[in-house]
Amino acid sequence: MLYIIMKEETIALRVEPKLKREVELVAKVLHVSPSEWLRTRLAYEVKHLIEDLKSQIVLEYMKGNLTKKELTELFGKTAEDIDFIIKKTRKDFLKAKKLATK
Amino acid sequence: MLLVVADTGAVLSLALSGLFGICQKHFRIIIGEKIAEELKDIASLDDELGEAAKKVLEVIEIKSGGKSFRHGEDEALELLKIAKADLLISDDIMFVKKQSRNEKISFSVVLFGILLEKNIITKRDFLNAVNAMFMKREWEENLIYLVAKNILEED
Repeated sequence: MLYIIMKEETIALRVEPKLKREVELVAKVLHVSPSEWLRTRLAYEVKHLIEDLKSQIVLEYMKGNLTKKELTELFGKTAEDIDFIIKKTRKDFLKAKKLATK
Repeated sequence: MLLVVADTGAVLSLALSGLFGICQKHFRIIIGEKIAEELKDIASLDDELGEAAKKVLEVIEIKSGGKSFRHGEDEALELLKIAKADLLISDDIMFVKKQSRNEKISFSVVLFGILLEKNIITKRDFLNAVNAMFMKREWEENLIYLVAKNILEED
């Protein structure tokens, strides 16, 4: 069993012995502790997975496959910012066409 | 040539996009002294943003806003007015939202839009630039690039 310490919180992970050994070997090569390496990798992967998922949701909203209400349910107040960015960027694209003639 | 005032985030995004040189060639981009100070702070960092800030400081035109400002955005607004600039670019969502009535304020990608319309860059160049910015900024800022990329792909 590996213990990952994240600030005051501790997450206990039950892993296969083979994976545990692999983590230990990688950590040894990198001269870091196994828990430190695992913690960094997990944080990185989870952050990117969540961001990727959020991006997919925004794209679905832009395609009209999600309503504003559904977007608000998922993002809370950020839904307003998303809506603003979409409207503003569309406006900026039109503005670019006008400014290109200047 | 269009006169463009930039804030810290916008000018860094341009530098990270790989199209900063082309933008410098086709727009007169200026920053205020407060923004230059912010860039100097960032330039001291030993990372990609630090490198981008150094690159910007080597070539960008710095203008005085006439007085000292606590916030770079306020100085940029003043510069927009006194320099009679055509555009103020910022990727600070809260700032752009707050100033939404000001037609001269846009996200930094507007410059790529202009270059694309003028056939100076291709759609591929635009997408590559946005992808480069997307990889290096935080998710909230990335929303701008994600949306721009999608609008461009819709066309």
